[in-house]
Amino acid sequence: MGSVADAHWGNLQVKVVIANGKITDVPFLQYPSDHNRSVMINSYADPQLTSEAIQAQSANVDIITGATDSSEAFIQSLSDALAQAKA
Amino acid sequence: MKETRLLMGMPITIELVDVTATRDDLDKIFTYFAWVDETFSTYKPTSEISRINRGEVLPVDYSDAMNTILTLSEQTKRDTHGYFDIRRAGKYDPSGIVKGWAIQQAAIMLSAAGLRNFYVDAGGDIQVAGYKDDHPWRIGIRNPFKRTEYIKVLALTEEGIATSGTAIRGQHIYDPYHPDRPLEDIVSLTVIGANVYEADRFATAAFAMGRRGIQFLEKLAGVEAYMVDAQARATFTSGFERYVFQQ
Repeated sequence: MGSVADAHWGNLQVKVVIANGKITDVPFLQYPSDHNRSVMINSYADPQLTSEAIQAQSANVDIITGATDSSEAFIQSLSDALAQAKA
Repeated sequence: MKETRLLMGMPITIELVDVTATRDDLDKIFTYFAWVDETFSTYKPTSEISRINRGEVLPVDYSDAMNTILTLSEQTKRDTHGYFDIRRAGKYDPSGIVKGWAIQQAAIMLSAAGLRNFYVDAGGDIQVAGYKDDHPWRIGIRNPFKRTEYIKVLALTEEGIATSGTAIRGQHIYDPYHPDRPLEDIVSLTVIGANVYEADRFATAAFAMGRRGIQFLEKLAGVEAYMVDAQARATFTSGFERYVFQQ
């Protein structure tokens, strides 16, 4: 289990699942959800725009767009979890 | 035929679906990306951009490709009210425009070779053409909070798509008007455009605008966008849903 790292917009913590010496999963234990700011955000609302909560999809995809690597907070928490696994 | 290589510090994947596609078509594109890296990488001391930044090249001696990138950067700076700026602390860092431009050039080369169904993906910025077998290319938008998941599935046939985010290699985009202020509110901004060059440059600039970026994109003709904020809420432009894959 990694350390809790400050990702600027909240705390972030990951866990590393290792099976047969290989990383099989890196689930997030914590990721930022700062509800206190939602009031401020509403004041920027634009009638043309639509909002929704993000939701995981299950349809098969051919390609993925997105931030490929990881934030420094992610790397920090991951490195810590790996160091613990090694010890 | 599909292959991934690590170039320009990121995975680059090319898939060619046409039966006429050859190994040579694939190799030419990877060779092209290697050349782009040799020319524009600020991490390589021997690159043209590094030599320019050290004052070793006179403007009259800049290569044609360099002049193209500098011109496109100036144009994008104007198009984005100054939010896109490759100049920082007296040096050029054109990485924000080179990637989309290079993917677009690669797609043009593949089309010129007679190929009609393919995609070129460099670090999550993608140009698609035609179809994958019998369906439009299905593209997932990665969950910025959980990289094994995707939070939207899109169906594209000729468009380009690019995502800017704080999750990619740390904070690589900054607000030129407030360079020391971290961009905290928005974690991921995906833009669909007529091609990946348009998508990439506007994704980069709009990300630097923070929460107002999606409004800038809403007013811009020819692009649609999907923004995810730190509260895991998504906001999308009025024409975005026509690209969403319907199961």
